[in-house]
Amino acid sequence: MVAVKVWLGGEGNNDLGGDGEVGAIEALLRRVERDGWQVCGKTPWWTLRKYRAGGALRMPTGHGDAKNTAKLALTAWEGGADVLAFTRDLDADTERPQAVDDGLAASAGIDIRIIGGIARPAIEGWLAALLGITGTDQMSRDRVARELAAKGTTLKETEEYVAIITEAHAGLVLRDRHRTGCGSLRDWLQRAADVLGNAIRG
Amino acid sequence: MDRPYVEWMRVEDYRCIRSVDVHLTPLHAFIGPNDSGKSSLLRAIQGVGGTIRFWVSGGIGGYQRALGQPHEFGGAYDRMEPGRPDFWEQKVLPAVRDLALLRLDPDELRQPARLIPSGTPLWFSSERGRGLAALYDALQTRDFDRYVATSRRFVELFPCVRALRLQNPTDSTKALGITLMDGSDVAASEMSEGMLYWLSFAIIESLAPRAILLIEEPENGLHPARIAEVMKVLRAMSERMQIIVATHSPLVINELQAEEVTIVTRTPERGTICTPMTATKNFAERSKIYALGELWLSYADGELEKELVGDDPPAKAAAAS
Repeated sequence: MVAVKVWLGGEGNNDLGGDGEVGAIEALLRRVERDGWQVCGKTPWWTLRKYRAGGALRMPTGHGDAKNTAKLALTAWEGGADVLAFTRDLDADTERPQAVDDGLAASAGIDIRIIGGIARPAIEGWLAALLGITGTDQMSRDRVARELAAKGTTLKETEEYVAIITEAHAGLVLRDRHRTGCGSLRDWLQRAADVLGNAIRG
Repeated sequence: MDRPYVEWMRVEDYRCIRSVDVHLTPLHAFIGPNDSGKSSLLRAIQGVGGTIRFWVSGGIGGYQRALGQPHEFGGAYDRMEPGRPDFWEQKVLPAVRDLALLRLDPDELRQPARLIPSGTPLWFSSERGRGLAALYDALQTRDFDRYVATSRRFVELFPCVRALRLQNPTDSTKALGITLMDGSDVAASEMSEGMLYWLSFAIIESLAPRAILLIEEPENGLHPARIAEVMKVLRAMSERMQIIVATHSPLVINELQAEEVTIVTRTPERGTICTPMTATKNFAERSKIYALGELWLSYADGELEKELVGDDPPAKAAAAS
């Protein structure tokens, strides 16, 4: 069986992993589908070109992430990927979720399946949820860091991100949105299960 | 565009050009790396050298022009309609006769200029833009309302300026100048390049129309917002004359439609290559995401542009089809 090719998009090395290394997004996907796919490319958000010319954008919004999301989809498709999986930290930008949705809508004409969404308040919030901290979607980044520190977790190395994801009881998040307060991770994982499962098994 | 225009041309044997086919539109841009042949294409169209064959819009015919005979329009090339004695005069020549090239140079634009006799068709006295001051002087005399409108727009766009001025350095020459909001006067020698470029493009609408106007790098010296404005002027002018520009600016082609842009590249083996923007790699998908200029900027590498035109840019025959 030919492995499904997955392109990853994320904030940096902790999300994506370095060359040949596993990062948080790949670890999350492995929790959903262990085998049958492989990473074929990675794009950090910051490498997407921030060029704009007044009035020339093809997006309904001027928010840069609409365009960046669509560019990411195009980059993954041009890289030969079957699936794009990405996360984007909310970072207190209230317009970002709509911008990402607009970008996803603009990507509809590109022949690639997409697992993507906003990590609230950032991917570290998802790790906190996986460690059993509740209500992370509504927390600030600083609050998440304090909660993690209280559990003795500082999250300095990518390996720590991956270890938490690999060892966590993800079913907790998937089953009970209201109790965990991390719907952003639940939605992302469910989408990953649907998209990746379909891509692998048709 | 009601008037005939050149919609296809083949240029052969000129500078770095061996043989290229180019589809043109009433407003068209060549964009590509340095030394790829954009300026050579403009020069070839101008008739400086090479062999060039034109096909005029509406399927009405074509003609060729050979090296060293830039103004000889004989030699029907293909599909001339028999029994049409007015064919050349009415259909073909208006599309290709009377070309002008502009490569504006601020030092030339600043120069005092000799007055233009009444009745003389208005145009720059050199391709570098010499004579700009005299053109504004003539416009003031011949179409005062338009002069005032242009002058007002200039003041709007450059808020430190109170007024455009025309001075008389001698009895027979004019020079440009401006008065600033604080009342001080600034001579043309001290005016910004962006002002001079803007004034040049703003007056082209008022000059005698040419069949084809070729412009080198219309973006030079202009703020991005002014580039968009200049391109709007050029689009309006393209109703009356065909306008072909060579550019390095994504902001210029952002203002164009995809079919109005040709990517110009060059390889040692093939010389200059012209690839329609619409024929670039993954154009259907990329054009959904990117504006044209951004698309070019995102994939251009300044050399062979392989991410745009691929490893094997369209061969001559493919482009011609």
